[in-house]
Amino acid sequence: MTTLLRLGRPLAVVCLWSALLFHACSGGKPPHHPKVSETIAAHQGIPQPPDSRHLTADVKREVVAFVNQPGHGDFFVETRSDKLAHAPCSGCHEGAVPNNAQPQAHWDITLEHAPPQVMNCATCHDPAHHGDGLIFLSGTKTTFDRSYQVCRQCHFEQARDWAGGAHGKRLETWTGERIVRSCTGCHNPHQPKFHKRLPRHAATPTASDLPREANHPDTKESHHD
Amino acid sequence: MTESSPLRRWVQGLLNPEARRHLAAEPDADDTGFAEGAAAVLDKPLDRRQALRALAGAAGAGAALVNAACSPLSGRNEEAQLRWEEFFKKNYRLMTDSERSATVDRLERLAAGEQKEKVHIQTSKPAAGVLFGYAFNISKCKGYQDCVTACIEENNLDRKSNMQYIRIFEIENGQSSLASANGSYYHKVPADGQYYLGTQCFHCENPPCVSVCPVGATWKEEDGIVVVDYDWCIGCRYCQAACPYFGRRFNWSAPEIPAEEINREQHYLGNRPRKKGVMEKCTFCIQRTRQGKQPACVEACPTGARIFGNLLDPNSEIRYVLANKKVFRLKEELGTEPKFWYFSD
Repeated sequence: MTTLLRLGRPLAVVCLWSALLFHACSGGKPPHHPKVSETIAAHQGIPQPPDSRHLTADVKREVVAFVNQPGHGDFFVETRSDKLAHAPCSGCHEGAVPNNAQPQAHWDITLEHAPPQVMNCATCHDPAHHGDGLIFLSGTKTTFDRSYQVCRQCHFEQARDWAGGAHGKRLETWTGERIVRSCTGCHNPHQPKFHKRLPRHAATPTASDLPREANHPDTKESHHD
Repeated sequence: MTESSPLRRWVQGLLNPEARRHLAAEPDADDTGFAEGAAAVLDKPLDRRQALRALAGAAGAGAALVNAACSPLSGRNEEAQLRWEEFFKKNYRLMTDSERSATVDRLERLAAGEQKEKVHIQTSKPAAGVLFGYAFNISKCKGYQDCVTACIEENNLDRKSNMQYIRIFEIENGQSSLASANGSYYHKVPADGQYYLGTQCFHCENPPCVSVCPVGATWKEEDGIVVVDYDWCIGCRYCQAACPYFGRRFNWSAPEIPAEEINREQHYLGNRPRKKGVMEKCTFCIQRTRQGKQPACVEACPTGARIFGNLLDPNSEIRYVLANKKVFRLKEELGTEPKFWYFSD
């Protein structure tokens, strides 16, 4: 009995260490590394995003409507006709103004979009009523705010991605009402390609090699109107 | 509380050797030696018990006591007290709502002292049913770096070291390795025969930076954003070494931002100004995105190359990209599961 008492403490220590050793060596559960797809599948439900209505309240918009394709009324396009300085012509001119009228008082446009055999002014503008809106290839009229319908006649793949969300630019929020820029909100329809320019910022590794003004270019170029 | 109570011994264990000696020598005498340090900071004498309780009391009682002992407050005295209380606050994740609002109040008052203008520090929580994801269109990016500038201004990044969370790489067409990429170009873009690829923190689903942090100062929030508690970070930089994407930045010196350029709309885990010796990184602009806004880089991008949204919403743009485009992620074989995908038209 006394022996047992004397051995009690070391015995307890040995037992404890064995238990610990067993626990450590038995592996336990391997760490779970979820895939994002699993997380999405497990948590997909009804989102309760923050209320963002106040962020988009001031954006002028209209519902997107594709010709021959109803059911796309679930998002909006930012309107642009309210930002055009010289349209419609009837705001100042009484009669129709042909787009070959001289002098070309309100515009200075070079068309760098498609070869002249494919496209000229009359492809998108009614020669007699060019300031009032746009026309489809068939000659049917539409408004400046629906330029996406006109562009879509050729650029149907871009239009599909634009409607889905892989092309173009959503305004203000990631949630709530989806309001996107129209094609002409980012692209100048007459010269749709993005132009070359210096980057806005110079990256860290060469900052010391550059002239000082290169770090903070004060020429704030923005995308064209 | 008697001398031998376990609580007292536990508290003593927390103290430095000198303080312990004081306690051991004269347990009940009016010993003010230990409180000298506190008194020097607070400019207000505290007896040993008070100082002890303030020290042990990152728990409320101590802070309340310091409050009681030091009011009314004014001038330098107030700043010293605020800094003292800031020093003993908890890890953000362990704070109750009232403790969070208390620290925000202190930080706002400290900032007001420095900057003469009010800042607003949010503690907004993740929204239910939201998991943030990001997509980057490598055929749309033209290398303009408008996003980089917007990020610097939005997130109060150190201007002196030209710190940036986003890096834009110029890569030759036909190449895919970042090893041959140019991360420091400065010429007219887009250059012929080149494409552009941007990186930042990818907010991995299995973030290695989080598992290596020895103090729990960085973690993944419910909405998928990996954040840093700048006041809990000890600056060991393990996370920087663990990140396979160079997503994290270290403040070698105190960040410098011109007062008039400071973004005053801030988040505790986001763009509030950092200090010397702590890590920072992209937070998906937590101060914006938790309010429903887009991150600053997405908003600034002139070409629409950046797409941000809720992965749990099947109607979101990001889900359209994942379902309809051929996407890839960087170093997928590591199993980090970045929530940042690249795609092309």
